[in-house]
Amino acid sequence: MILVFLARSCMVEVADIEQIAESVKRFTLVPVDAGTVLPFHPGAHVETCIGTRNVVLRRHYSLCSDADETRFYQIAVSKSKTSRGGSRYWHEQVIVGQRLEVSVPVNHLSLSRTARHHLFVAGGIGITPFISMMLALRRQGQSFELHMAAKSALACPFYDWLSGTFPGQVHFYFSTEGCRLTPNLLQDQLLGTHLYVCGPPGMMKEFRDCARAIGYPKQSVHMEAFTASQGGDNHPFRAFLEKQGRWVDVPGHQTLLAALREADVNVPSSCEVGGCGTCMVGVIDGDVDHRDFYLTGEEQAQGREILCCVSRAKKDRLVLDL
Amino acid sequence: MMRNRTAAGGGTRKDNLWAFLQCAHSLLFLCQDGQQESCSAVLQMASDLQIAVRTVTVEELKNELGSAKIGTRLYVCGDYQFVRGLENVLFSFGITNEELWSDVTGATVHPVLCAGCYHRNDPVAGSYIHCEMCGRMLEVSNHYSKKLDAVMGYIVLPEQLVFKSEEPQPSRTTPEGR
Amino acid sequence: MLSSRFPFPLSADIFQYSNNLRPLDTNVSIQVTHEYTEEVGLKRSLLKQHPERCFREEIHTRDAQWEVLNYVLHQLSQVYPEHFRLRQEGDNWIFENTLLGEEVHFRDLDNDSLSCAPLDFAGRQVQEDLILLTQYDDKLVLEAGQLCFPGNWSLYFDFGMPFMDIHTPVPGLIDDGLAAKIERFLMRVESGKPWTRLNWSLNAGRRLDTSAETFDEWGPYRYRVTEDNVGHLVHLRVEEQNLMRMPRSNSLLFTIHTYLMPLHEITQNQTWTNRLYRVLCTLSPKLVEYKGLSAYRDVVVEYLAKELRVNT
Ligand code: HEM
Ligand code: FES
Ligand SMILES: [Zn+2]
Repeated sequence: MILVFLARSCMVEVADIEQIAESVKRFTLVPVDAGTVLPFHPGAHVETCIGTRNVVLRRHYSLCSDADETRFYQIAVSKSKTSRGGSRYWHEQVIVGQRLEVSVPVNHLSLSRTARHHLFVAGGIGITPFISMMLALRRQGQSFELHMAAKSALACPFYDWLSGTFPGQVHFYFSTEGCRLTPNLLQDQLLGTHLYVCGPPGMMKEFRDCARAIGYPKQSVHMEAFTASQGGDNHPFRAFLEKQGRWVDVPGHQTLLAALREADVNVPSSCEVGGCGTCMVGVIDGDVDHRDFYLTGEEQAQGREILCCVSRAKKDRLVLDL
Repeated sequence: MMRNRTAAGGGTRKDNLWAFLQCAHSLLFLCQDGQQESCSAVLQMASDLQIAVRTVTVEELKNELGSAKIGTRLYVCGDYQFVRGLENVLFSFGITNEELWSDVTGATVHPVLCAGCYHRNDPVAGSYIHCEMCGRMLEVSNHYSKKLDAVMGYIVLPEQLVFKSEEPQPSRTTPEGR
Repeated sequence: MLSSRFPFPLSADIFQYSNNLRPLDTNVSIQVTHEYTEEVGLKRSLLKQHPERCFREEIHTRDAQWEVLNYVLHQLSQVYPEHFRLRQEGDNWIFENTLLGEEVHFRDLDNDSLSCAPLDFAGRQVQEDLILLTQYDDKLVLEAGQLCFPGNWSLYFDFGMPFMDIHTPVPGLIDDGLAAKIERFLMRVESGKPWTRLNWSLNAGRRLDTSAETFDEWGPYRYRVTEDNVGHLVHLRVEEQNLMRMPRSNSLLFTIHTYLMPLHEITQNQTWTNRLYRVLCTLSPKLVEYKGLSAYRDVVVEYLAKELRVNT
């Protein structure tokens, strides 16, 4: 039974830290007050909020424990060379006994309820969301396979566990052995196959494009869109209103929506947290720093719309269709 | 009269069909007996695009689906009952709208569910009927349930007709909101 | 003490459909008001008399229904601890409803330990109607629901429908592309971040159960509204709708709490009267018809105008 429903987050304590591959550590998190953590839907992630002396780090990590396990959560963190501080902190500073906050589990990726066969493609640490998904499929007796790329067996998180738990259903591609994971495996799959890809952006794009060319329906291709949208810096910028032919200044402390309203431009809004799409305005020129969760990753990349209650200009200027 | 039931965007029928077939590597073709000639355009386009076409019967369908590869598209043509029956099989198999094109020949009229007593009244062409079971007057709507394969028949009050009776063609007026 | 509540739905002088969802900041999606005993009693008698109209389920939603039951009972006991208590004894859960003087024992996920489906059971403890939607790759589908107080729709008919099909009768919602946007938004609603919106209409008569099935019982009152009875007969009907993701099943729970207030009470509040007056004056003909106001809108507008004149 579920105890922390009213809360949006719960306090957990690091109970165990294991080095499960070169530069990958797994952390076991147990609830501090409540007896149990919330069960989750396979493929979910949590937002962890861990404090250092000066900064609070908020990061999304997929849960890599069993979705039905309510005694603890597990996450796996790969130490990234380009770390903005998150993975380095987890690797170098976090110790057993340390406390942190985790959000309620959230799904941006979930299993199709109508697939006949599930095809997972993981690059390195991208394996994490698939673990709970594969465990669930196995319980339901459904058909699936995993293809996973890593530098080597030593650098491959969960290598032993995967080989032992899903024999015959997992295939590894180690680059040091000259074995490359290519989209060729997308060919010749059965009708009704759903594809799930998680890994570096280049790999996701390669597989998505190839799958579409082979004829995978759009809705059968699933990718986790981690939008690292935790508000970067709020620098001031200017917005040019094309139809009205005038400029509006947006100071760092104000949203674009608020600045427009102050300038007597009536933009409707509702949620004001980037969720409902009501405050959408067309963008004619300039790069958008998207911070909403309404537009799809594709739409965000095209940059033709902005949700002005949260999103801003990447640089110093935007031209809006107003 | 042929109506395509796969929502495939704006364009003309031909554009949409072309977009549908474009990324197919093969086509499973199911056509009700006697409707073959309505499908010639599709077959022609498939052959222009050099797509392998397999004609299958309803009985063969389940087997064919079991071994078909991703990238296969399905084309279904026939009267409403035929198409609906096949669509049910295909959707429960996990086929998506993007993979299926269906052409319905002839008229599509649905049974009318009486809101008052849940009786399924036989399909009719007009806007109003009297429920065969309870006698209530019903407004035939376009609110359609795939699960029930019926449209909603909303109860019409005598007052609603009286209220509108000043209008010139009482038989064609829409009663005020349900 | 249980509260009286009436969420006034109009936030501007003009009304048109929009994605008017807002974050539900309190996280509290179940409201227990002083009408509790009366309304829950009414729900239960409707469920008894018209089970096929008031409850529908796809059997594969049972796990999700248990999740909703957990959610509802925990919420009741945490938000209203003076009226509801939930405790665990070994494998048994014990739910105490002191407002109705009931105590129920059940085992988690054990369908045989309840007298009805879990969602049905949950709905019998609250004033809200509870609708459960399953998330598929490209759509949300209504696959279970307990609905006693519909605003002129039918759960029997809408059961099994995707969000888009459910909304075909609403003028403009599909054609303007709004429904598709809303569905897309709903598919991304995250657990722990519930949303809320208000829906409104007018009712001729004080009746919560305005099902499409019984239109011939309550519809005729629309034609009996007069200058003399309008203040008492006509009610502003407000549905407070909350949406939350169930973290385990990934299903979406949609709750509807319906409030009725007669116009003579609305007119106690000058701002409300003014708003309602202006909205009704400018409401598009399609919405007037859809909301079923054609027969008596003019009488209401006249009445509100008079009240405004008296009070200024
Ligand atoms: C996800 C759960 C939802 C369900 C099950 C649901 C169901 C319904 C139903 C059954 C109706 C009545 C349609 C009829 O006349 O037959 C309706 C009306 C409507 N719905 Fe929804 N709805 C949901 C969410 C939403 C959301 C999130 C919005 C907007 C943000 C919305 C906007 C509307 C509007 C504008 C109407 C017309 C109401 C009126 O003017 O009286 N719905 N809905
Ligand atoms: S107001 Fe909702 S997204 Fe901006
Ligand atoms: Zn009838």
